[in-house]
Amino acid sequence: MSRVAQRYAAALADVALERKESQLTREGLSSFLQGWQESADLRNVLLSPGVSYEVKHALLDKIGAAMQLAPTVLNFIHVVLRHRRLEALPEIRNEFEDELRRRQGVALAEVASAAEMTKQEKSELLGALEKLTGKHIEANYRVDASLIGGAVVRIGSTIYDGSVRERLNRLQTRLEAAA
Amino acid sequence: MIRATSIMVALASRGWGMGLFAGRKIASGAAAVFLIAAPIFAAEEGSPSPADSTAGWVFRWVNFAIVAGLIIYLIRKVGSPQLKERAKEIGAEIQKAGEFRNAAERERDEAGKRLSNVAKEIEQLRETAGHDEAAELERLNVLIQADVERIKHAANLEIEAAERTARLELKATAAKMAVARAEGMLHQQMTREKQTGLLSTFVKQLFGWAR
Repeated sequence: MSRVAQRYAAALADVALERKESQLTREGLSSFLQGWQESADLRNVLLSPGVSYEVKHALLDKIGAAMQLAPTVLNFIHVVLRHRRLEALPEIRNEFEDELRRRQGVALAEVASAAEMTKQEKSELLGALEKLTGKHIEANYRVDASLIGGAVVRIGSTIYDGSVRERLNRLQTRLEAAA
Repeated sequence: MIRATSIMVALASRGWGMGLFAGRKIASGAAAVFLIAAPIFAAEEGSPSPADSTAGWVFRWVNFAIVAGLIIYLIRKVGSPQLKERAKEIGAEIQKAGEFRNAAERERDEAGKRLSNVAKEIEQLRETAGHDEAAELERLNVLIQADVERIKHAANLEIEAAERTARLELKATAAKMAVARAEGMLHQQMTREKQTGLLSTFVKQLFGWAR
């Protein structure tokens, strides 16, 4: 399924970047998927083989109008519906995000900190990470109290650890290795 | 009678009519019988015996001498070779017995020597056995000592390994406890300012890596 999702994501990224609607497409797709995940009835109707394509198509048009989805997004969801790949839509969205970041030279950073970071701290951290990677950084933040202090950043498969937990782990290793 | 005896003696001495040594012996024997028997026949005649006269006595002595000589002759003639032969046999037997005796003595001496050698050999065997026993004991001692050393070495290695493991476990436990205690203290002492300081340090570190 991942390869299929990549193909759909690449096609959507082509259109979105061509029309310079990458942000609009991203937001529209996220909105639709939020409703998709929240509404079991919507999923049941759109995934049910007992409901005809025409009915589903008409329903999607109504939802698009109600959510004010960009035509690019709505057309893309229609294509996915016609190819009966709607169940892969969440995965396609993730692949689309990655594809966009790749094409725009953006790196996604997962940042964990012992306490909530201030805007200034986030800004300083992003600046440092952008300088380190040479890419624009999009960060997802979360709080992890087990870190005790400091923060940990993961970009792809690389981890930058500035937490107290890591220092304690190193200290324990040194103590165990000490003669 | 006397004449007859003389004739018989003459015949015996010449071996007349017989021609053989056996005939002579018979003739000599017959003459001896006649000579012995002559006085008896003379006494039976009852007349005053001329033998009682001096001539008779002389004749008797002569007769006795003849008979005695005859007997001696016969003894020497007939018995001597047998005696010589017997003496030779006895001498030979004596010589043989002497040889036997010498041989027995030699054997006795050899046996004595052997006996003395046996004692010596026994002593040598005993000595050799003693040496062998000592050597075997020495060899066993060496083997036992080697085994003891090997077991001691293995035991030492095991003890060292156990000690090393225990030391490592102890270190790990001590480190874990120390870190747990430090973690507790850090949790208590962590403040917003300190968190900011840590983040600031981390950011500087990232900038440092970026250069």
